Amino acid sequence: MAQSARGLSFLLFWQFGIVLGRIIDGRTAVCCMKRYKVHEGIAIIEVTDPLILMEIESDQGLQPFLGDRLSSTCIAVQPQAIQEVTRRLQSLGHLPRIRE
Amino acid sequence: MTPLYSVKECLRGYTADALGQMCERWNLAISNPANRLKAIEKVLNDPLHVEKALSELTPAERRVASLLLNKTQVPASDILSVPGLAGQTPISSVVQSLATWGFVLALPEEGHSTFSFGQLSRQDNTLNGLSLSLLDLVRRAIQPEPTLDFALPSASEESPEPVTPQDAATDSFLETLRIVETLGPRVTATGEIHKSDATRAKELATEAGIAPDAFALALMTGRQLGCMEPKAGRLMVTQQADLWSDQEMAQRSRDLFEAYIASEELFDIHLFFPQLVAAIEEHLPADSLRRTYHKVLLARLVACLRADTWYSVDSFVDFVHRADPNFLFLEERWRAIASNTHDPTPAWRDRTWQAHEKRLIHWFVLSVLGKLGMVDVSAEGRLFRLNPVGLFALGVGDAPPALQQDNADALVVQPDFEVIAYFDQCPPGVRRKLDTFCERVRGGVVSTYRLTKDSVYRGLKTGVTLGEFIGMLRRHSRRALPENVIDQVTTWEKKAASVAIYTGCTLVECLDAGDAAQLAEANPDARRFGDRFILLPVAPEGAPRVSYAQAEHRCLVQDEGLTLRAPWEASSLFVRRRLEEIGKVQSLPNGDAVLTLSRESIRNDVDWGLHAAALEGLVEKPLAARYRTALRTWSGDTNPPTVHTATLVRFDDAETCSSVMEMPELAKHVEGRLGLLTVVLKPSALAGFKKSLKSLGLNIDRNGTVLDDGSPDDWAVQTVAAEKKIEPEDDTPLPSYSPQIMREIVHDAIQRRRTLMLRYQSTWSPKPSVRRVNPVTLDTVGPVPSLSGYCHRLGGARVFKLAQISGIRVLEEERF
Repeated sequence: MAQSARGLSFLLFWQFGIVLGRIIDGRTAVCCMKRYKVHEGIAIIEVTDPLILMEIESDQGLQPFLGDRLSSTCIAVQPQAIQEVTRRLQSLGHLPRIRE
Repeated sequence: MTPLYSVKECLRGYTADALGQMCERWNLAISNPANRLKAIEKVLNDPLHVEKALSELTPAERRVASLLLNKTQVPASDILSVPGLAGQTPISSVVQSLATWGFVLALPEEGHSTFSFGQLSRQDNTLNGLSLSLLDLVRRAIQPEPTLDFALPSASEESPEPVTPQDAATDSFLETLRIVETLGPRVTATGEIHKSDATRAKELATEAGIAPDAFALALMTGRQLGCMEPKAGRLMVTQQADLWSDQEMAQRSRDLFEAYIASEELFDIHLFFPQLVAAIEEHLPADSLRRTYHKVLLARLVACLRADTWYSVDSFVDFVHRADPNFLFLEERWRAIASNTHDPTPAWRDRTWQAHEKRLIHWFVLSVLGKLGMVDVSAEGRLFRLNPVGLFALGVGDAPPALQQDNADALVVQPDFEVIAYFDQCPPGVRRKLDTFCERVRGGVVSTYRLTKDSVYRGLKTGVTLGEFIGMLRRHSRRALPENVIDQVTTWEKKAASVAIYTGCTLVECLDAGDAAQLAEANPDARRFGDRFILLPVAPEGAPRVSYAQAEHRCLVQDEGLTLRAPWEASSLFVRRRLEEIGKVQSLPNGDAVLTLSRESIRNDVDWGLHAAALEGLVEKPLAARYRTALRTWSGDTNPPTVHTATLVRFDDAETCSSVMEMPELAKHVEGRLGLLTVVLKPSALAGFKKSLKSLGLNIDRNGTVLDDGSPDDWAVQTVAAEKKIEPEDDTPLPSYSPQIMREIVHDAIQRRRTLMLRYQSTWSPKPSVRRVNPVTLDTVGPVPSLSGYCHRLGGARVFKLAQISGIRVLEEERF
């Protein structure tokens, strides 16, 4: 009787351990998920020369539409302002190609 | 196309006689008016019945039904004003017949009482406000309309030698495109070209050898075709122009002809009736059938002609006169007055027809159809015949076989960047590409172009790649392309490609470079930007997302004190830059950006209001007052608080208090409002305020007790919510009927416990409002017939006068 009770408690403890393990795994997964995020529908300007990007960033007319720099040749730009940005880049002597 | 009203709603507005006639047409032996309506509704909603009846329609009925195909509703007066399009049968009888079938429904609109078929034949004031719509099932099932049933005898003379049709319209259209592209004329708010730019464009057209009418026609058709569009205040050439120029000749002519017919610009009226144009335009409302009637009728009459048969242009003019002499308001009084000024005899009608209409029809045949290559014209211009291109453009024939257009001798490219083009051998597509990629130096049959950096850039903007352009030059050039030209043009292209904008990207941002490297390894299609960013074709599931569908992205959390925090998971790529414009931003190890407002960290060269507005655009919840107050205080824009002694008058309810504020004789004593129930009086204004209140029957009692309503959260929210419940004006179209029919509908809704949607003009409101009402009783015995019921909009029982209801709809799916 006592042996079966001990066996039962061991079984319960073992099952609890499995459940706890799963919870911890899940939390770890959630933590891992938060290590990256997705920017959906963002627009990016890519240039061939970092100097062109510096010129773009220092332009007063373009600054309101620019976001963070992604690399030395890439910068985020507001998707709603593509027309204004294109027009301004054209007036600066560039010929921006718009690609989907 | 969604119908505005259901069949039942339309039929409710018909007289009992009209419903009886409809039953007779459908062979429905029903005598009870209520049952008639149900039976006709059932038949008209049954596709099998409708399709069977459609097969029995006469050609004239199909033609008239087709006029309504692309329109949700058409005024009855408009459809009756285009009699020529029905053929030889009077249009009123054709419309009446369609209405008797129920294929054309009279809409129950405000200002129009019950509908009977007799109204269509009377054509008097009873038509005012009556609109017709095609039954939705008919819209889907109707067959293409047949040609008109007129016949024109052929010319008795011997067949003349035809002049080979020139594709002159294509030439003038291409030149017009080039002029617009070079000039970029400014466009006014009404869509017209700026006067000075129009003059310059006309000069350029004359230099290029295009007649003014051909230039105006090309502008009109170009805009209708979508080859030219106003963009940023200027008229620009679109990619549609390139697509058009690459087509076969027959298709090009068809497109131009259809655009001419469909265009609502009255260029031809301006050309032939300069003195009457204002009066004519007044009778041709935009988007009406009458607006393009004169062009559509001419096109339909040409389509009646036999192919390869010569007709005299004069006999075609008489043919149009027979079809409808009033196709340009010949019978209008103002036209009679204008023409009678010097000639009081009744011969004015014939004289003006010969002077104006005849010239217009001649111009249509010779200048429009002839230059589009749709008809062959005899050498002296008296006879014409339809050719295969014309049959195809009119939609009554198949496309003629395509001609070989690749001519290898059309161009010569010189090492000095000059391109010589032989226009007589150039297909329009080649000419169009030369116009976009080169600058024209000299025009004419042998034209000279020059390739420059600017012209190549301009050409690249149209979406055509340099590879396509060079390929085109190679195909059509007499000699091999000079190497130096290819090298230079390729260099220009590389320079042009130095800036690229990618839109609609799915960009993954990682917290550190290690995560980014792992993710990039796992996705072979990924493209990495910098240390932490990866461009992926498909977003990974489960990760937090930041959407850029809206320009505004609110993610700032208001922490304790004067701190604002942008959590890394939710912040967009623009937040940090916006915060840096306000003050110094700190980055936390978890990626969050924190802005702490302090006198030292804030940029003082910017107005505090701009900082506050920038924050308000970023915060998730309304910006707490403490941030605004701090910014304002640091900028020195606040005054010290002051102490006042004032007289307060408190009312029992918020409505009375609001009324006091609205009445000028009381409001002039009031300094302001304090909460929902109390007003603050101006100094020594109590006596005047009391007197004014007394004149309205209200006395003021003095009460010195301290009043405590508790927290505003407990009482203000409900009152404000109740006031907000009054929705703005609604433009939902609701059917409108005579009071008698309205009464029947209300009675029926009460019996069946259906909710009603009413457009009701309240005595207390300047505009009618749309509300949902659960009808309970209908009072027709009292002095004012009224409906009592529960109003969802106001959340209580209300009485609605029947006379004030201007629109009603039974919500069949909503029971109460």
